Amino acid sequence: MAQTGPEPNDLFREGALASLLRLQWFIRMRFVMVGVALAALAVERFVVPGGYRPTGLIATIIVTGVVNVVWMLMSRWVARDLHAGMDSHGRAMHRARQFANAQVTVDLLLLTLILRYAGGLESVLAIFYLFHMGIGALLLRPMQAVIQGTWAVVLYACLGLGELGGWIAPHYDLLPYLPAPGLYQHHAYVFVAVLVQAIAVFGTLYFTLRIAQRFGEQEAQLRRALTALRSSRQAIKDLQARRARFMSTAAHQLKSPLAAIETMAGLIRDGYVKDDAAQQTVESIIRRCRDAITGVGDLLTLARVQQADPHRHRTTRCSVAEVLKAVCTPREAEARRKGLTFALDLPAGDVLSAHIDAADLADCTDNLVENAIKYTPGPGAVLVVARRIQRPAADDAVALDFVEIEVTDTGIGIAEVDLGGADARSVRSPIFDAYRRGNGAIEAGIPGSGLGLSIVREVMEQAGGEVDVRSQIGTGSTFRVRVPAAVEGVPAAPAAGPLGVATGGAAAATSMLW
Amino acid sequence: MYVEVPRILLIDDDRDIHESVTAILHPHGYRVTCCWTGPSGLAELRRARPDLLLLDIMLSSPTEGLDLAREIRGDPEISHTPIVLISAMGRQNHLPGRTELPADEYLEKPLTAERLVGSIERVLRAHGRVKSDQ
Repeated sequence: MAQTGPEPNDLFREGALASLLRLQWFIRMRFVMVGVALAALAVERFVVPGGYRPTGLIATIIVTGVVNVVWMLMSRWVARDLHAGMDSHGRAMHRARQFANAQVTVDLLLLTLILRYAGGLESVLAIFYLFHMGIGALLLRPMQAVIQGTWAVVLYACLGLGELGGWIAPHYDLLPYLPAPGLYQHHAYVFVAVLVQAIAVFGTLYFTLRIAQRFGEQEAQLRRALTALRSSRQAIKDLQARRARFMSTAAHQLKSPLAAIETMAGLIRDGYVKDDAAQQTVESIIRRCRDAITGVGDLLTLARVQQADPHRHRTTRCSVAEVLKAVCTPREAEARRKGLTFALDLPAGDVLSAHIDAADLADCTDNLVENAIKYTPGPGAVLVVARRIQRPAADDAVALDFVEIEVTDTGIGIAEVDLGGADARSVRSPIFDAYRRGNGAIEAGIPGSGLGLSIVREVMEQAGGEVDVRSQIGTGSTFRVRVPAAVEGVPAAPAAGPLGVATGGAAAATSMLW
Repeated sequence: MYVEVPRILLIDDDRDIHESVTAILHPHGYRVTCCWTGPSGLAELRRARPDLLLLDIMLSSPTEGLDLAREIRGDPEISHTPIVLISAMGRQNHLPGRTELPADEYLEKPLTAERLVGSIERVLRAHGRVKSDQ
């Protein structure tokens, strides 16, 4: 109890202290007390004409009022600092706490003086010690509250023991017209009264501190929930914005070939194309129709990948070697027709089992191999290599097994600016964004939907894999994907993938494409 | 200042659009130069100073053309170049609300000969680069 409270309690206390300071709650209460006391004494003077009240009592009440004016002036200054910027918040809060602490200290002293003039140890007004303990435990740090409790007990004990030992003059009665029993003169009573007061003071402190602690924890929970709610709302907003952007870009990409087709057909109709060139224009129209169909196909692939259960990869095993053979066989023929050498390098005797859906892996690798062939003019080379590797996990605690697939070409390469800078080789590179194409590819007049690499990234994110790229203009590119290897008897890791993106449903919903 | 054979620079990543625009504008007395990317188009613009720039909005990224138009408008040496933006996406999709168009006109694809020639003539006339009776 005597330790400094943990952070949640501080939050609760700081909130309560700040709001009470703003309302000048202490000041108002004290003015009410002074007003009520003076009014009661005035009324008493008329109702009970013979009642005698010592000047000290009136003086103490008036001093309380005067001190309260000082508190009021100081309170404005402290409260103004609390309103200031967050930079000075800690300092202002410390000052506010010290301010409240000083008020409780002086209040307890004035209360003891009032007791001295109104009933002493026997007075029911002693209950106001407990009132201050309640406030102290709610607003001050626990250690400060305990010190205030000790201060209250010491004051009360000094009052009783001082009168008992004759060091201070006997107190005045609470009600002068009722004879008091003079209990303060008995050792046993003084001892019991001080003991009971101490138990009441520390008991009140203990229970109030516990309640404040519980409130503090609840408030901390609420704050955490609120923060989570806010970030979820922001994530949903971002998601909606990305989805809207993607939708309009996709619509544009689907409309572009149709617009070109309409323009070219219009040229033939309006006689802008001579008869001998019409055949070529019709060929262009057919080619653009194929482009549109390819674009829609890629979009459907992307939709299929995004709609599928992202957990499917963890519960599946596929042979990377088999997938690569199936993908590379038709592509090899295509490469040779273009005058490229093509090689698939697989480790002997290892099927390279991995946790990834076979159809998705085929889509990914086919996209990479197709790109390598497409962007490599003959004579050139395309090399596909797969191997098993180990790399440390994010916390460097354990090494994880991956199957790494590298697709290297000697093609036109991608400019640094299109990769997103010299260091942007990872999944964050804009080259993986939907409908993003390198200027080199556009300049070379190589058609593409702009969706292939985003499909690769989507699948790798869902599978807890990695993807990166190295490229140099005129030299070629290397795209590398790594998928979690399947080890006999060991299930796939259920947590976030190495991409740092959770591989659960939320990841699919907030994937970077949308 | 008017010119007899206005020179048009087209920046578009679609080769079919290059051929179509050339096929439309050539018989109307325009000389068309084509570039496929933003950087090469900007270099050509600085070098050749064409009479009008036809600029596709969606190049290597969805807004590259728009950014390029703003860059041109901000460069005192070439800011006076008349610009006609073209895109398959509606203007509202690129510039929602009342956002100012960093160009003289916006043409939505598909392009027709009538709309394309009409737009170019209008913009050139506004810039005093063709005879008023042309």
